[in-house]
Amino acid sequence: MAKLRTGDTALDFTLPATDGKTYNLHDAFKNARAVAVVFTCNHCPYAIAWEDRINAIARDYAIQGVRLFAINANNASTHPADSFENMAKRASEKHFAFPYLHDESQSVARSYGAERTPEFFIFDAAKTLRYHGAPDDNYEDEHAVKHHYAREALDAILAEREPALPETKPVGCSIKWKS
Amino acid sequence: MPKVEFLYWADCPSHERALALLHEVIAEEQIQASIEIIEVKTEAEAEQYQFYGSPTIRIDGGDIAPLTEYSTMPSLTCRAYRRADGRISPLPPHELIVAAFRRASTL
Repeated sequence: MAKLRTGDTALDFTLPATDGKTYNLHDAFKNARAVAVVFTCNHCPYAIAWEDRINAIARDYAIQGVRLFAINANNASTHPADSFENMAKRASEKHFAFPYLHDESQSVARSYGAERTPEFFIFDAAKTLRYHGAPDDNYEDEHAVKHHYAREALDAILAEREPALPETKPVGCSIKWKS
Repeated sequence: MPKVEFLYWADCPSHERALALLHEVIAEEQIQASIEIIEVKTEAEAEQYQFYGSPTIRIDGGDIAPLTEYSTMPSLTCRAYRRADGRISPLPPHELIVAAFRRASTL
């Protein structure tokens, strides 16, 4: 269960990204109408299955003032596919439309209480958590999705409404913690 | 009768659907087989079983699918399967299980 609950305020972080820059979460709110933080990774088949859809969310909502950050907190010593070098490779190959951040110490994932990849935390402009959970309801087939949870939550936030589903169960691989 | 092993790690959510899929293929193909279900609980067991991710299905000792680039060492993790259209899935594709049984029956 995530430590951060809907209604809570975004916990700030500063993390390096694969584009060579360093990003601060609270800075992102200065010009954003909503901010999505997604814990994800390179190796997990669920994360890979949802990757293009997450990228599409970042692209589609950027014009509406939504910022999306993806964070990989996995232990790369047990899962080498999640090394920073491999993250950079993936971001380049897939033309990620969002900063892909490395939480090497895993402190951000721990403070948020993130458990799965992928796992969304979506905040409104006041830095309040409005949605936590899965990207949508079908990891296997994007054409069979009935509920686009993250998109529906963003649409609600942008329309200054409460998301109809503020919480769904994240589905995916567990974050690979350092012992 | 082929020897069928189903290895899984409980933390990875796809195992129940994968096991149902395996039963489905066995029924469809009218195969006489019993499934040995093995829960892999520790990294040491993952090494011992050469378990590259959950779920793993072996028929007569042979893995039903080649490993992808995402499965590089035995580990407690979810396994990535490549579908016929190139996409990655946490579930073994139906056609791969069928093909593995047919291969085993001709050996």
